[in-house]
Amino acid sequence: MKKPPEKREVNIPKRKASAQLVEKGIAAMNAENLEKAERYFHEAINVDTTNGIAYFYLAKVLFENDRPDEALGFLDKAQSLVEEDDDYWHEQIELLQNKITGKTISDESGADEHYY
Amino acid sequence: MRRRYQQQPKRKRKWVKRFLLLILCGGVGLFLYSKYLAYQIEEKFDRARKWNLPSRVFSDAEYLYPGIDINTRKLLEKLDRLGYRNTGSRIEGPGDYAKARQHLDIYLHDFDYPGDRFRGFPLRIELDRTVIVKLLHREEKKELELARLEPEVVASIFDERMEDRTVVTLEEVPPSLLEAIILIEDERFFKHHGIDPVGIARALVANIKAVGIVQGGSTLTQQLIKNFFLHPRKSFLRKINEQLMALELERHHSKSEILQAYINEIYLGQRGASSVSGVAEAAKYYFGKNVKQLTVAESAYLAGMIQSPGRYSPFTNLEKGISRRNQILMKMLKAELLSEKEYHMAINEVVVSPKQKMKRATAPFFIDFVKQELAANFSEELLESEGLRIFTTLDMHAQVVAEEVIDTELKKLETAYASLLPKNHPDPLETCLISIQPSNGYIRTMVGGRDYERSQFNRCAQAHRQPGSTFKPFVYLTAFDQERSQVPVTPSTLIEDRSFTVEAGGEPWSPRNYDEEEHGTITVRTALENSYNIATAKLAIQTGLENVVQTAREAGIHGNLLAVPSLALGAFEVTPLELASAYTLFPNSGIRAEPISLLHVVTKEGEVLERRRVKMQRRFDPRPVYVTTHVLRGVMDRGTGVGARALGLSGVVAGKTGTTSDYRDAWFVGFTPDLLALTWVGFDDNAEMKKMSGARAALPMWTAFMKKVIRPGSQDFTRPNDVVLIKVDHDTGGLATSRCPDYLYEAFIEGTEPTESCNDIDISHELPPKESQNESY
Repeated sequence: MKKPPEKREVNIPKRKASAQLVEKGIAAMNAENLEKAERYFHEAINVDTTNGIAYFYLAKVLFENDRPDEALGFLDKAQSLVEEDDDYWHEQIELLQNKITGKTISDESGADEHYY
Repeated sequence: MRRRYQQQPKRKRKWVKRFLLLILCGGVGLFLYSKYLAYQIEEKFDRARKWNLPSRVFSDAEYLYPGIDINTRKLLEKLDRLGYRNTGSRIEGPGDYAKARQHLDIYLHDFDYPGDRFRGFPLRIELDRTVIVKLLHREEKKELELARLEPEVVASIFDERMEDRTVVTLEEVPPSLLEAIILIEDERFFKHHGIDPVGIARALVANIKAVGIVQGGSTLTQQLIKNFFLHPRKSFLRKINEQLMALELERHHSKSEILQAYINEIYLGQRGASSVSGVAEAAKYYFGKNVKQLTVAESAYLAGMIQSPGRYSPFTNLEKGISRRNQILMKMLKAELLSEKEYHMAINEVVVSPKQKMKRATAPFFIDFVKQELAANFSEELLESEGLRIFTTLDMHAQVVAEEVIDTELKKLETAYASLLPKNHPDPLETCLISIQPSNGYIRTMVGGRDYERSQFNRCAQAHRQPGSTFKPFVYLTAFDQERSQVPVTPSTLIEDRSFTVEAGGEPWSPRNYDEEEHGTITVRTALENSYNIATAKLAIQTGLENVVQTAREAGIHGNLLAVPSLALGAFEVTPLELASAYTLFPNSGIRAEPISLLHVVTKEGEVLERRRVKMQRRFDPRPVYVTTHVLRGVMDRGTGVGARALGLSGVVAGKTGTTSDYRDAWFVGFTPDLLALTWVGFDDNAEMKKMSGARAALPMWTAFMKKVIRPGSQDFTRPNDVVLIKVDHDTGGLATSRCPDYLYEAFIEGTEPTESCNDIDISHELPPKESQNESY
């Protein structure tokens, strides 16, 4: 299993604010409150429309909420926003994409604990 | 004589009988009438829902975080609109705010979001001049990354009575308020059975002494009956009914039930066309507080207002209101409801009310649009009675700006270009300004006309207009997409801007440029930046008109699109909303987000009845989308949109002007990575506006709007990994060398970049012989 990267230091206040909402969303998702989690991820996107990780988690929560078609659009957006050299996130996105489209899943690492 | 004496008891008996019969009939009649009144009372009073509660439409919440300029976002105005009270230097409870030179303290209100109860806390916003540098939770003494300000009420959906009311239980109301109300309105409330003979006698004496009406004898129960069940006209019958009904009400209901109904029913003033009903709504309106947070002094003030809300309103007659409050406080002291200390504190308390005369956005066109969205699942009656809470995507600050901008910019336009507009036109110049957040399709603002009172026709959602040149980016997007175009095209590809004729619908068709000139051999970028019709029509034909139609449809344009050459110049009809929504794919990397205005519908108890989903779907390859967007940036820096820069707009923006034949429509659609806005100007009846192009009529309005709403934090459009930026010559599109100093960085999908240098490309601005194309459409 590939080791997740250390959290990236983010210095843009808008991104930090958005990241805090992502954290709240992850907490809600872990507490199985998917509706609440979805709202937090939407809010994270509202605050910073270029936070690719917020789109990723939104896709994840939509998928977990049995809405795979909706999830794909957000996952696409996540893919276009995550930095090119960020292998970890590209891999996570690909895994989720495969999951959604029904392809074989080879690896599942803990994206919930490590995200910046 | 004897006979007379004998007849008298008989007659007497007859009268007695008649009298008894009359009494009996009267008694039965009164009994039946009382029963009828009781039935009426029970009908209304015992219903689970005693009042029609207006549904409220909310804007989206506002997020605060470091970097935001509170002046740009007009935060203090927002606090005023939200009913926060400027308390000067200290904040003591929810709804207070205090501004100092280097910080702003806000005690946030509690707010029930759909599925999430937010508890207010004291927030400190540290400022560097007007820019937020730090957020602190003052109670927990910790730094925050962001804070959320609750949504604003944009509109209330009333029934014909137009009563604004927040229903509360007795337990939610401070005892001081109940005591003050009872003391001043019906001191013997707990001693009578609906009507109070002692009170009536006392009022009578007081009125005789004063030679006028200074005191009423109505009990709280009677007042409730009068307000709740009877018409306001004074008449003898109404008074009788009022007393009978008061007795009936007290027979069937407890004092607590009656008092609770009273405090929710009572009229406490006007807010515009709607009335402020009940103490909880009044507490919010006059003191910016939840009723349970009222101080003793505020409770006394509110109790004093019941007699005449207009006369004692803190907004209009503060002095009189304070004098009345003090009388009540004195009475409370004498009745031993207050200690000496409490009395002195209350009497010295300064009355702080929220600011009243601030600019409010009413967003009537947006509200109509949302109501239409609701119509499928919620009847008008339901909306007017159930107190639903409707959460929307509206950005209230941006909406206020949009409404201001429309007003000022249209007036400017009409003054500056009066000679270009038709004389004595019966209707004014009309407009639409709509903005959408591309990342999720949230409709952030919508102004569908200049004056809703005059015309409720929503030009953003209902007007079908020709898009003109604003359609061109879809032609170029098709051309840059190798999967869609018949021929490979890049922004550096050379194209002839030279008149040609084709057959379309059996008629010869020949496009012309707006400047009536031909520009020879130019790059595709130059053609779009300058909105050249001839080159664009030619490009559309080369690309494949069917392909362009396909692109437009996938972008979300549903109009009657025909694969004819004039399609390229926007010769069909769209609604502005449709066009704005189609454009969102550019800042959103080819992903289409369906426009959305309604988010949640929640009952007053907090149950979510409806939840709308954001729908996103990839429709286009992000690479040609980025290439097109990159050229559209050039429109702003060198092309027809350059006026925006001259008007002071900076930062990363892209956009496109549009003008239709004979200047019937002026458009501008432009966007940053975060926000897209569209402005349209024209006449409803399609009247001509001589020389009023998109750049002249719609662009200044768009620029004025964007300058005020773009958020800080410079970021660029997302460039896909396999799109490269290459330094090319502006004129030839060839690789730039030292011999062609007029260069720019051009975006190319990897593998499509030019190979020739500018030196090797020879373009002649002399026009080659005129072409005639053989195809017919």
